[in-house]
Amino acid sequence: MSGTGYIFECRNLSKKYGDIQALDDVNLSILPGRIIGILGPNGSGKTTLIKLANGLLKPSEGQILIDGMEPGIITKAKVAYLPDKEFLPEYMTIGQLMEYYGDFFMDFNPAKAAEMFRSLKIDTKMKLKKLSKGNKEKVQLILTMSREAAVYFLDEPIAGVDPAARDYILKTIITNYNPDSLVVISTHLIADVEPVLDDIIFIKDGRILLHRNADELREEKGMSVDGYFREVFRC
Amino acid sequence: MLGLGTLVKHEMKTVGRKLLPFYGALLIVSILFGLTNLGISTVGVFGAIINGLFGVLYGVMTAGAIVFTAIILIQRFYSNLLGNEGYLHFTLPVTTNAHIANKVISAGVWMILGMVAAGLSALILLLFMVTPAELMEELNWVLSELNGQLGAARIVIAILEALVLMIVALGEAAVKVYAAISMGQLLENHRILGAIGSYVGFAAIECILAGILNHFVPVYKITELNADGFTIFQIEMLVTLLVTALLAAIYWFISYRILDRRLNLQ
Repeated sequence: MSGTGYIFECRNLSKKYGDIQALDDVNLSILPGRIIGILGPNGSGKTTLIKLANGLLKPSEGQILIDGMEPGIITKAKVAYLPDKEFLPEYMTIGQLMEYYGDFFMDFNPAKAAEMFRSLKIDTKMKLKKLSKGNKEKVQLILTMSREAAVYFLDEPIAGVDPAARDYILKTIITNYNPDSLVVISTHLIADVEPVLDDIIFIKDGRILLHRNADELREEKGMSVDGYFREVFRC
Repeated sequence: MLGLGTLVKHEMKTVGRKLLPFYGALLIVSILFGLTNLGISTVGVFGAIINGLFGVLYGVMTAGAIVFTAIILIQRFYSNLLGNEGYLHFTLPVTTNAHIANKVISAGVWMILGMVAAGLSALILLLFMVTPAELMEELNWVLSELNGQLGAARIVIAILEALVLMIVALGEAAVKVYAAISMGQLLENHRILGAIGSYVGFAAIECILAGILNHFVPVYKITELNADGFTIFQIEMLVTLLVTALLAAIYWFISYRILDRRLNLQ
């Protein structure tokens, strides 16, 4: 456990791709037990930040820490990641995917996953490639949220799915959330996600514009987070 | 390496589902070809055509056993680690070295199994042409000739050394391809071209270095050593083994550095 108590920290974190500054001197210190929204337009650096946290990228400068450690095999065992793309092997059945997750992640709870698949009437003998896009997204989310992880990174979990699927995904996030964990949701669909968020981070051009409690922000600005987002990021 | 056993278990299962049926089909085709070879002179044009078709199928599948295996292994490395599945595999709690080791082990095992399948299919065909007794007689003759020339101990040593060299060489060939694919992904928009170019580049550098080394330590000098043929063979095997192992280590290091430090999944 981090000596500071912070489960997720960025210290002067920067990431450059060639000439493009994807993240610029990001500083964050986040305690567990929160659901945080990283909100910003496309290309603002949300996915880059999440990929850095998962060890898929290395920082150009600064540090990113999960529970006081740089991303590596120890942090990967306690971080659950849902990327914004179809990332699971399509030739596998859902049952095989559950076995796969159970083999690699000690915190995977197969009974929880099985129950969620049952409630959605998703047959675990089906191959992933036979499912609709919406159901594939649900499978990915269920496998991710069935881990009892310290940190969850959900990158655009509701983009590209129908409103009913969105509601299900958000309900799953809340009902399966562990109060000792941190959930980080990155999205540009603020209105749908806003009701579940404790804290808000606005990010633009790789820089953090604000990091506030959602209720306090709404009270101070007299508008929803979505409304304030539109104001701040007006084209 | 943490998690390597689990990676290997899943890799073997997944690749096995594609390759084992192919190897099984190859053995069946070799049986059918062998059967149609028997009595070919008595079944007329139709029988000859069937025999010919099976012959072509057999030839294609035997060559294909190695080629298809290599294609599957390359495709799996690329899609598992550098395609969308990279988001899964590189977030598993296993080291980059474990991922590389898993792919190298898989390549070695399946290339050997591919060669065994091709060899077994050839043996099956042979058994349609000669009896097992005749085959054993030929084999005994070859072994007794070798025994007379070298002695049993040296035959065993030579076979073991050849097997070790084959395994190391297979590993080196695999990790060289993986290093080329890893280098290719550094060119964001030209990954496949980058991989091919890197592979060609590696081959060119190996040739140049071999030429330079040969200038200073000419290989032919080994044959001028005051030693018997078998000892010279041993030295040549050892040099080849060391060079192959060194190249394998270099390509492994290249793969590791790129996948660990310069990964950039799309």
